[in-house]
Formats: sequence, structure tokens, C-alpha cells
Amino acid sequence: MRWLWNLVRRRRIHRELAEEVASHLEEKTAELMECGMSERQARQIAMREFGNATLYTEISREVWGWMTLERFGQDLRFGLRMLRRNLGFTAVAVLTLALGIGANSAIFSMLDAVMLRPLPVKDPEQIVEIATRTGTGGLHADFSYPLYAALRQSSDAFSGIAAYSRSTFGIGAPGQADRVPGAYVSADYFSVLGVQPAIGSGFGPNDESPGAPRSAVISYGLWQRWLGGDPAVQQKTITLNGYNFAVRAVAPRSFTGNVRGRPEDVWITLPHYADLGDSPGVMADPRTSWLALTGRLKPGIHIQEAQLRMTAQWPAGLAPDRNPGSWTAVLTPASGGNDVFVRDMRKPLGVLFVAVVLILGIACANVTSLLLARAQVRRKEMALRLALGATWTRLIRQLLTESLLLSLAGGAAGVFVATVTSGLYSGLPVSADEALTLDLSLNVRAFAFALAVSLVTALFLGVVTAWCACRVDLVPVLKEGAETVRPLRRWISLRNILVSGQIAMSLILLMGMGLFLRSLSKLQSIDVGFSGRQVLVLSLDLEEQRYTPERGKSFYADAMERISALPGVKSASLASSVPVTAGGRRMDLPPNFTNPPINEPTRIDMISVAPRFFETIGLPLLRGRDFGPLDSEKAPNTIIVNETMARIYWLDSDPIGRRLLIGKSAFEVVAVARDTKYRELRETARATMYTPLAQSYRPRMNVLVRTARPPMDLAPIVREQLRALDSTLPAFDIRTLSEHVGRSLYIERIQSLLTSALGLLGLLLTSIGVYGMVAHTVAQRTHEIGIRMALGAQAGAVRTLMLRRSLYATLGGMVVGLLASFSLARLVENQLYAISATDPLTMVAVTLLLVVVALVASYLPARRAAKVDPVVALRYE
Amino acid sequence: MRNQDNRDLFPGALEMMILQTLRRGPLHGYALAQVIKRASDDLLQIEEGSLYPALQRMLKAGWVSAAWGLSERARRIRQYRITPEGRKQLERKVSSFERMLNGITRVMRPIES
Repeated sequence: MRWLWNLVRRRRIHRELAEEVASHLEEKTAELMECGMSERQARQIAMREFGNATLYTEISREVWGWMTLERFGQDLRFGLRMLRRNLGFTAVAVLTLALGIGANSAIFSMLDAVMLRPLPVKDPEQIVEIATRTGTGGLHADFSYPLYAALRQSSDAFSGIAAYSRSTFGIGAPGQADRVPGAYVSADYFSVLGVQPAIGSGFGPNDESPGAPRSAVISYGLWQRWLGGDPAVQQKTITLNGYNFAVRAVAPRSFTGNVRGRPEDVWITLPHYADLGDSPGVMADPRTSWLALTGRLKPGIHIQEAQLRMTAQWPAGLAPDRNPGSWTAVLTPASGGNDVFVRDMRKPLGVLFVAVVLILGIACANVTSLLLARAQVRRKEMALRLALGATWTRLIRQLLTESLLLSLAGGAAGVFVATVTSGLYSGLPVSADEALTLDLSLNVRAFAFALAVSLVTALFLGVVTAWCACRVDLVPVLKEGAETVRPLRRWISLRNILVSGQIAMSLILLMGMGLFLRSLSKLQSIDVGFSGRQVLVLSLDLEEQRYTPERGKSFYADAMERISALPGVKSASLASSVPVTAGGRRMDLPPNFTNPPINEPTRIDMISVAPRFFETIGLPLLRGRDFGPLDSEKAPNTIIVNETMARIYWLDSDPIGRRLLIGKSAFEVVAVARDTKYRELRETARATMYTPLAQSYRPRMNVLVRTARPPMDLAPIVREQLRALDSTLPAFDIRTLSEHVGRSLYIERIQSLLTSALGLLGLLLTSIGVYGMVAHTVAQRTHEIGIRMALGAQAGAVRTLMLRRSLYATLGGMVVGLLASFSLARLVENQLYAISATDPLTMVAVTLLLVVVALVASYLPARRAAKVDPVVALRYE
Repeated sequence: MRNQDNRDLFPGALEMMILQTLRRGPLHGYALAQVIKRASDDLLQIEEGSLYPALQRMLKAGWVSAAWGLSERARRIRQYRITPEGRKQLERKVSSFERMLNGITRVMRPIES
């Protein structure tokens, strides 16, 4: 601190010192003049006896320890001047570094949003997500309300356990409707997380009992958007799924729920699910598991210990299949919240992070060789400064300062690059009806990261250039003409190493690009069994507008009638879930629960469809008939099964007309549909059972329209028809069926897009590096080439001579790169589909591409070497 | 470069002499130079300027304090005053100096005899 204070009064201390010295000299002069000397003589003697005033002043200043800082200031000024003078060099170097650092910052901000950023709650490190594991290893993260209530009572390792269940609500006033994501939460949700609302207060214990008053906590964003930021928000009411809720509080701006990637806008307490979710009795039913649990560990309790205690204290008798002994509690740290939606992005991000580090390496290599080339030009300057008494440390400090300036400029430009690019991939849709919303805005952590990367870069550049500068031999450099004698071999070989490194890193990047592209194209060529390009899909949620099943059914019937009659529409239908969508309704059946019996547990996906579904999406019915008006509510239950289900229950015999008994319900099979991929493209065929919508009403449906024209052209007309039926019901997430299928490959697409971009960027930077190396060699050896040609060397031989060096560097780099690719293979192999991480075809293709690019990049300057005119080259001296 | 102010003297000698001189009363830089020169009968080759780095070091170490005042010729001068910390330092220096001198004298004696 004292040091800082001294720094602040530095100028005063300097002034006082100067004044003191001046006064000393004057005093002496005056005294000598009193002895009869002339003023001039007196002053001379005073000066002589004082000694070197400038030197003493400087040493006196140095006592205070600012010299380092002052020198740094000088270095900085000098460095800035140097950079300004070589604007071209500066621009290229800064741009190259900006690409390297920018790519790093962009990926880091993704990594931060997906993995690192903690929840904006009190002591986030105490937060855990709670799940259970069966004896056979299955992980279950869903709980019924009675089980939750009992767990909350029995477990003493937590200072609180909160329950939540995400949902989307229809919000609105008549004529004005929208959908907002939200959650049903336990009354202690906000207190367990330690979130203090910005306005009002969180829920109280009353809010979780039956008949709780309808009140909601809303997000800051919704308050601004929907209620115009009205300060009297606590007197307002909002309508959720057709029920009025009083606004009791506004969450702080930073808090949007505890689920990463899916911000929430509304929170209401659990009992309201009975009405809004049309599920009476859900609060008392131990068989309906609809809640996720998050808990706060008591301070000082380790997660392992909490897990053991929770398992030991597991309440008995609440869930017949979840009794103590057969289940263990599984706690996962959740300081960043529930990561279920972003978990799949971790591995791709790891790969991307490796890729951007390689890009930075390639960029650094380019800037280093630029700096080396410039250092050679500046050798004379350096030698002169050394000869005039500058110390090596001073020169090295100067070089370090210059590379620091370059890197910081590159870092600043890089942050800009990152800001621009991160906007490109945030909020991309991942699944049917919701987008993944990641906050990719650069925060303090991202800036700190960019700064750290810049500093490491500066250190690398500075050390390498300083190391090379130290190898200058003073005398020959100062001698005129010495420069043309022989380039320092070491510099050249360092350049070779840099280029080899670039080739190696580039090869790894291109391998990644090739593998992910091939994997994606294999995934995209998976046969889904239907054709979705001409199919329009819109989603509806009647529950959000408080439809009764009767009203819903008539709405569906009217909608189908209107849409089918539109010009350009070939057929229209409805489905509770369209392929390919993660999740969906399914039955888990114990062994021999059905007739025909199956001697093992079976799992059947259940999809509710309107007539003409198969025709509309183009999924063939192999045998039998489609659902029709006959399959009404009152008629006997009918089903259509897929090939896999037919095979499981009836083996090779024809299932049409057969009856399937599930528990006490009987179903008659009317058709067999072709297998498709319902949940994800990679799946092996699952047993799927289609039921007629009339016999299995669902409030959430997708409207499917097969069109004769481009589907999106018809979207406005279809929407218009739906709005004419009910103006308050939003039709959301309008897309074509092929688009919908493509979305299931969101992560793979992002990954191959980004690895391709990085691969090509790396290739570009590497080719610049190779070009630079050869061009530099040619420039250095013009004289030698001139002699060779004068002595009769052919142009071809000269070209080969120049190419040889880059060829060696390229081949060396390739060997290293291929070896590294093998060792990095395990990083990507579990992210590839139907292709090996050491796929020979990709390897050959990538190697060839790299060889061609390297040859072209070195051929251009080598050709120039062959055109050297011996007369000109020799006259140069 | 750093030690040029001490040439012809062992390290710390100048500081010791300054402290010793200041013990008799506060002085400004010029007067200090004159007193030391006179006291040593001009035997020590000290450039007057070399006092200042030493004074700055001692100011920073807190062995002396400084205050601006007016000289007899009504010129603005900076007067230095020894601090209690400076007195302690002087005692330490003197005793170690005496030990050193003692040692040197013992080594030198045989040659003289």
C-alpha cells in the first residue's frame, strides 16, 4: 500500500528532489561568489564538486522503485510506435490472434453457459439434484408427491428439499394469448434455493395445502414483457391455462429457474396441477411420479454422507415399487442447476475446446514466424542498441512488451469476434417445442479467460522472439552487407518446427471435421421410413386454454374438416407425437402382463393419432386398414402396431384381427405399420402402438398437413383456419416434418458445423504459414539462387530445392499429426455414428487434402525463386 | 551503476556518516555535505551529489525525516532530521563498523612491523 502511495506522490517527490539539487548548487555558487569568484567560475566549481547531477537524480529516483514502471512505460510507448509504424504487420498479426483468441472465447462462453456458470442462488455448491437407483442400475429422477413429502420429513442431511415439475402455460387475456414456460413448485422452492424475490415474497406453507389460493411468482422478464414493468404488480392478475392467478412476487432479474438452458417465467405451487393439468388426485397418488427434486445439503455434510443417510432414512410403504432396501438415493452436485437439457452438449464441447486450442496454436505459429521475420529486419536496430550499452534484459523486456501489446490487441479483437459469433448459435431449437436458451453473453469469467489466453500467448510469442534475438552475433550484423552472407540456420529450423506443428495441428482438426461430417451424413441417411419434406407440422395445447375432452374432440374434428378442404392440402391428420421426438408416452409392462404373454418386461411406445396419419406422413401400412370414423369412442378399442410389436406378440403370423389384452383392456389389431425411428435416429426399432385419437384423447397434439405446394407457404392459411375456430389458442412451433427430424440431430449438426469451420480456419492459417516459410526462404536465399543459376542450375532444380524444405516440414508434421490423431481418437469415438475414429478413408482424404494445400502454398513462392534473374540477384550486392 | 554513489567507500559508510552528523542536529543537504567534507579533512573523495541517493534511501527506510524550511540566505531548503529508528540503525552500524575496523587493523599490523 505504501508503495502505491509513493507512486501517487511520485511527481511531487521528483519535483522536490530537483528543487533540492538546484538549491544545493545555488547555495554553493553563492558561497563561492562571496569568496570573490566570478559567477561563471563559481557555478563551474559547484557543478564539478557536485558530480553528475543527472545521474544522481536518476539514482535517487530509482530508490523509490518506480524505474521498472517507468521503463515499462517507455517500452510501452516504444512498442506502440513500432506497431503503428508497421501497420500491415500489426494488422495481420492482430487479425490472426483475434481469430485464435476469439474462437477460444466463443467456445469458452458456451462451456461456461453449459457447465461452469453457477445458479444465481445462495451458496450454490450446497445444491444437489436427487434421484434413485434400482438394484438393476436404472436411474430414476421422478417422484410422486407423497414420496416427496415423506422424504422431506425423513432426511436429515438436507436443510431443505424442493420439488418442481416443468410445464408450459397458456397465459393470457381474451384475444391475447401466449405460452410461457414455467413450473409447478413446492412452497419452499424459493427458500430452499435461497432466492429472495425482487418484489413481494415467496410462497408460504399454506400454498402447498389443498385449496391453496391461486397465486404465482413471475420472472423479472415476464413482469417487464407482459405487465410492462408496472410497480403495482402485486395487485395484478394473470391467467394461466384459463385460471386467474394473483401475482404475489417477482423473482430477481438473474433468476430464471433451476433448469439450465430452459429459462422459466412463471412458478405456481404443486396443488394447482390438479386443475391446470387436469389431474385431480395427483397430490395424493403415490403412483404418479411427476416431480423432480433438488435439495440443499446442510453445511459441512458431504454429498456421499448425505447419500448414505438419505438411503438409510428412506420412507417405507409409500411407493410399492420404491421400498427401502431395493433403492438407493443418488445425489449429484447441481451448483449450476438441473443440467438434463444440456448434459448432451458436454462431450461435443470438450472436443470443440481441444479444436480451438489447436487453432490458437496454429495462429500463434503464424504470428511467431511473422515476428521472427521482423526480428531479422530489426537485427541491426537491436545490435546498435546493444552496442550503445542497452542490456539484454532490457531488450528482451522490450520484445516481451511488444508481444504483450500484440496479444492484448488480438485478445480485444478476439472478444469482439466472440461476441459476434456467439450470437449465431444461442437459442437454437433442440427438440419439438422448446429451444435451448443459453446465455452466451460474455461475462466477467469470459473476459478473464480471454485475458488469460492473451497473456499466455504474449508469453509464448515474447519468449520465442527473445530467445531468437539473443542469438544475434553483434559484430557481423553491424558490418555492412553481412546480412546477405548466411541466414542464421537456427531461425530457419525454428520456422520449420513451427510449420510442422501447424501441419500436425491442422491434420488433427481436419480429421475431426472429416469424422463428424461423415458421421452426420450417416445419421442423415438413416431411413426413417417416411417422407417429411412435404409435411407441415403445427403444435397445439388445448389444456392451456382449459378445454374439456368433449370440447377438444369437437375442436379436432372441426379443424381436420377445415384444413382438409383447403386448396393445396392433400391430407391432414393429428398425432400426439411425431417422429423423431425425444420422450413421449410409453407403457412399461411387467412379464406376462399381456395376452399373448411375453416372458419378460416389455416397453411399448403409445401414440395417439387421428385417421389418415400414415397417409399424411407417408409411413406405409403394410397390412390392414387405417383408423376411420368407425373407431369411435363407443366402438371396441382398436390399435395399429408397428412391425416390431407385431413380431414380439405374434411372431410370424398375421396379427390383423387378433386381440391384445393389456391388463384388463382389450385391443383389436387393425393394421401393421412400417417401423420408423420415433425417439431418436440411432434407435433400434421399438415396439410402437398407435391408438385412435377418438379412443385416447390427448390435449397436446400436432397438426400434420401433407401439401402439394411448399409446406411453409400453406402455414399462414392453416393457422388462419385454426384461429377462426379459436382465436385464443396459439398454434406454435410451425415447421416441416423434415425440419423436425433434423432437429433431433441438433448437437451433431452444431458439432460438425463448428468443427468444419475450425478445420477450414486451421487449414487457411496453416497454408498462410507454409507460404510464409517458403517465401521467406526464397527472399533470404535470392543471392545463393542467383549464383546457382549463374553456374547453370535449371529452374526445375531451384524449385525443387525450395520445395524440399516445406515438403520435409509437411511430412514431419503429418507423421506427428497422424500419431496424435490416433491418441485423440478415444476423445471422439463415442460421439461418432457408424464410423471409427481412425477411419482410414477419412485419414487418407485428409492427408491428401493437406499435402495438396501445402504443395500449392509452397509452389507459389518457389516458382518465384525459379524466375530469379542471376544478373539481378548478384547485382543486388 | 547502482553503487556508483558509494565508490571509494564501503557500502553503508555514507549512510553511517550522515546519521552520525545528523545526530548533532538537523541539517539540509548542502550543509550536510560541507560538514562531512570538513570533518574528514577532505580525505574522503565524496562527490556532493552522492549524498542525495543516500538521503532518499534513508527517507524511504524511515531513518531520517525531512521538512522544508528557509536557509540563512532565505533560500528554500529541505532539512533532514534523524528519527529514533535512525538512531538505532546508527548504533547497529557503528558497532558492526568497529568490529570490521578491528579485524582490518589486526590483519594489517604484521606488515607494518
